[in-house]
Order: sequence, then structure tokens, then C-alpha cells
Amino acid sequence: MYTEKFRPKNPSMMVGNEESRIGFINWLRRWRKGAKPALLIGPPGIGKTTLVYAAAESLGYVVLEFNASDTRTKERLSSSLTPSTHSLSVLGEKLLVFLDEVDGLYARQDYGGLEFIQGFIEKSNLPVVLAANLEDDEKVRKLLPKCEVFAFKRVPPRLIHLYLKSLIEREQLNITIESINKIVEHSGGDIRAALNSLQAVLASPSSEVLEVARDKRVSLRDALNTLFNSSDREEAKSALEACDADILEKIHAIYSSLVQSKVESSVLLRSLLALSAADELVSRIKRTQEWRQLRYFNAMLSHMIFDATPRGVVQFSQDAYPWSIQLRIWNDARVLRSIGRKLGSMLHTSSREALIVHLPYLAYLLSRLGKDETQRILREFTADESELRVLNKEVARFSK
Amino acid sequence: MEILLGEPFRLPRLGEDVFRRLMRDVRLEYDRQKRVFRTTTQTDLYQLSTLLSEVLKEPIIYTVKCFICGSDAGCTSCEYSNICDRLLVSQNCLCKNCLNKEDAYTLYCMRVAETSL
Ligand SMILES: Nc1ncnc2c1ncn2[C@@H]1O[C@H](COP(=O)(O)OP(=O)(O)O)[C@@H](O)[C@H]1O
Ligand SMILES: [Mg+2]
Ligand SMILES: [Zn+2]
Ligand SMILES: [Zn+2]
Repeated sequence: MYTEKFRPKNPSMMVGNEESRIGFINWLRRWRKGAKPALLIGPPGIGKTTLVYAAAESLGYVVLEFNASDTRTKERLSSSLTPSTHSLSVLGEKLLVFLDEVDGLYARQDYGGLEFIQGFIEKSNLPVVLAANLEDDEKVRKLLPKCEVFAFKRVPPRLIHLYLKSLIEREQLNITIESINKIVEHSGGDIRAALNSLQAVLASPSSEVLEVARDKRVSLRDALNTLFNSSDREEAKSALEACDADILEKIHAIYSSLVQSKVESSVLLRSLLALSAADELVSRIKRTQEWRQLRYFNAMLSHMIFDATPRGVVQFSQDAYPWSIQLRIWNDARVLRSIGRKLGSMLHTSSREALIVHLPYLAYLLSRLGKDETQRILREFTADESELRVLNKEVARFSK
Repeated sequence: MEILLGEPFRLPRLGEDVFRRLMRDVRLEYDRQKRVFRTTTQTDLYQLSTLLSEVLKEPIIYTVKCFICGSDAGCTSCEYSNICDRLLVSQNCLCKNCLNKEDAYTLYCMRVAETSL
């Protein structure tokens, strides 16, 4: 495997995440008894595991690794606290305890992972390093305040290109520059995926095997462009599922893409309403912590957007326009309540929901239209002058 | 407004509430002496652009620095710009000029080694 063969032995031979890499090395260099454990967090394939070994190696530590996939982890962890490991350190070995993929550890049913790890962290007088793929995991999040956190992100394409090119020159591999570009483009910022593709391409140069090697993770941009443009409902769904971005981030990006596209306003309105329903659901899930419901979320969201938007009109747009739903202290509470009631009955929601969730969308939407059209739509909605005044104020919040 | 990731930048006075959110939720770094902000690996870039574009009423554009020479890496003219998501990748890149140097990888590794000393 190229991934093993080319695993960098020294932290400075790796690429990407410079600040976190350096931060982690310094953490280990300065480690003293009683220091917080380090937590490396970030997507797969960008070198978290590699860094821990390389840093340990260069600072003279021996790594005791415990992996989530090992059923005996708990037992072995407990025994690593026993005198035998201490005697090892007495013999002059500097030891480092490494718990890789702790998010996987939690997923396992057979023991109280979080409590156990927390207890372990507190008792250990060796440096402890944890690594996790999911920041969004509620349990991993609980560890954050107890740890020195080093955040890792995907590796920028040019740096992957640089790394592949250096390997290719060093090993005198025979591959065209176009193929390198393609590998980089398909890697999604994941170096493991890039190396697997490289190996696959070299094994059968004529083939288009790039996709196979890839751990199917999709960027937000690709996912949304598929969602907006694919004519296949299932493909749209898979794309959204294969994207790791936080759910709220997905909703916000769909929102900003929609409002910056040139779809007809009635279609836009329909899409935005679907989106705000989704947003409501997410906040409910976050409130009630019924995380299991999130499993169906990507499917639901993609189907709603797929059905509401015409194909090929909307493109991903990163200029996220603000839409933060804040509960302000309304000067116009009474008027707003009546607007809320009207809007709520039109949209079949409570008036509170209409005000908090839907009104900002509508106001933003209206702020993008011409003055005359805005007034025409507002007057269709209400003839009440104070309501019009408040609505115009809402719209003005979004105008320059 | 353009923000060069990882580099100091100034902001107009935004009020205590916004400042508190920038510190607590967005986890932006602030240097009290120099009165400059800086994004770190902990900074939530997504929230930062949402919040700032709302209060400044203009879009926030992120650019990244070349880790070898320190200049703007030139994201807008990057050959990979269609697949590179600035919110998801780490904060430094390479400019076209440095990328094309023969010993680019060695130079890059040396810069990392220098910085970690
Ligand atoms: N930043 C990097 N620089 C160089 N090679 C890397 C980097 N990240 C990953 N690799 C390669 O990919 C393989 C898998 O990386 P790994 O450390 O297991 O990633 P993670 O733990 O983040 O999932 C490594 O063996 C190495 O060959
Ligand atoms: Mg790993
Ligand atoms: Zn440069
Ligand atoms: Zn770029």
C-alpha cells in the first residue's frame, strides 16, 4: 500500500494543517504531568494518526495505541495504568498513550466509553492523545473542554499536488501531469484517498479508476450542485448524504445558493419554505437531542429541495448572506403578532414560527426585488399601514 | 471585505455584543495591544462570514497565504478553485510562483521545520 509505504516519518514531511501540526508538536514537547490531553479532530485521511506517530518518534516517545476497533481496548487501557507500564517508563522509555478514533469508540455499545475515557484521562500520568473524525458528535464535543484541541481540516488541492509530485519524482513513477491533476481533483482534500488513487492509476494506467479508490466524501459545493442539477432524485440524495458538512451549514448554503440564483420568485418562495421547515426540524432535534432522527434528515432535505426547485437553475454559492434568526426586542410587538398570525395561517404554521423562521426569509427575498415589486407584494399581503411600515422595516434590515 | 486567513486584520468598532460573539462563538483571536483580529485553526469561518457580512453589510471573502513566501496564494486564479472549498481546507496554501519552483516541496518542509522551532 502506498499509504503505508509513503507514511511520513517526520512531522515536517507532511503537508497541510501547518498551525495545528506545529501546535501539537509543541504540546508534546512541553508536556508535563497534569497537563490536559491533546485531542486531534478533523476529517479522515489528512494525517492525524500519522502525525501522532511521527511526532512521538521525533521526540523519543514510544506509542501505546488503543484503537476503537479493538474489543479489548477497555481491558488493555486499564492495564496500561498498572505498575507494568510504569516500570516501562522507569526503564527509561518515554510512553505516550494514543486513543485513535475515539468517536468510533463511542459508537460501540459494549461499554460506557465516555465515562471510561474521562476517568482514564484524569488518572493517567502519561501524555494522552485522542483523535476523532467527527466534531459534530455530541459525545466528542463533551471532551472538548477537557482537552487541548487541535483542529485539522482537509488539505488544499495545491498542497496535495505538491506532495504527490514530490513522491513521483523521488520514486521515479511514470504518470502524466493530467492524471495527477485528476487525482487531486477527486481527492476531496483527503491524502489517503489521493495515494490510493495514485496507486490504482499506476496499476492500470489506461483505466478511469479514480472514483473507486475514493472514500466517498463530497464537498459541500459538489453536493449542492448535484442536488440542484441532477435529474435523478436518488443521486441528489446520495450526494447530500456523502457530504460531511454540518446540517445547519448545509441548510444555510442551500439558502444562500437559492437566493442568489435567478429562479422565479414563486419557485424561490416554495423552496425557501421547504428549507425553513427543514431548519425548524433541525433546531427541534438539537433542542430535544433526538439525534437518531437526523439519520433521515439528508434524505428528507434533498427530496424537498429536489421537488421544489427546477433543475439546472441554481448553482452553489458560498457568499453566505446572513439570515440569522434572532429574537430581537420588538418595538412593534403587537403589529408583528398580527403579521405572524396572517403569515402563519397562510403557511400553516404557528404565528411564532412564522415570525421567527419565515419572516426573515421573506424579508430577505423581498429586499432583493425592485422597490415597486416589493410594495406590490406587501400590499397584496396586507392593507394595514402599520403592518406595512413594520414589514418595510424588516425588508430594510437586509438592504444596503 | 477580504480576510487573509491566519493574518492580522482590523475591524471597525462593532459594539460589545458583536465583539463578544466574535470571541466566544466564532473564536476569533484578538490582540488587545495592537487591536487586531486573526483567524486561527479554531475559528469558525462559517459563522465569522455570516456574522460579519450581516453587521458590515458586505460579503466576506477569504483568501489564503502562501506558506513559502507569505504572499497571497491567489485563490481566485487557482487552477483548483472549482474544487477547493475555503471553509473546509486548512489555512495556508502555495502561490503559483512557489508551487512551480523546482524544490517547492523541500522549501515547504523547511518552512514548517523553521516555524516549529
Ligand atoms: N498530511 C499528510 N501528509 C502526507 N501524507 C499524509 C498526510 N495525511 C495522510 N497521509 C497519508 O495517508 C495515510 C493515512 O493517513 P492517516 O494519518 O491515517 O489519516 P487520519 O488519521 O487523519 O485518517 C498515511 O499513511 C499517509 O501515507
Ligand atoms: Mg487515523
Ligand atoms: Zn509563494
Ligand atoms: Zn486554493
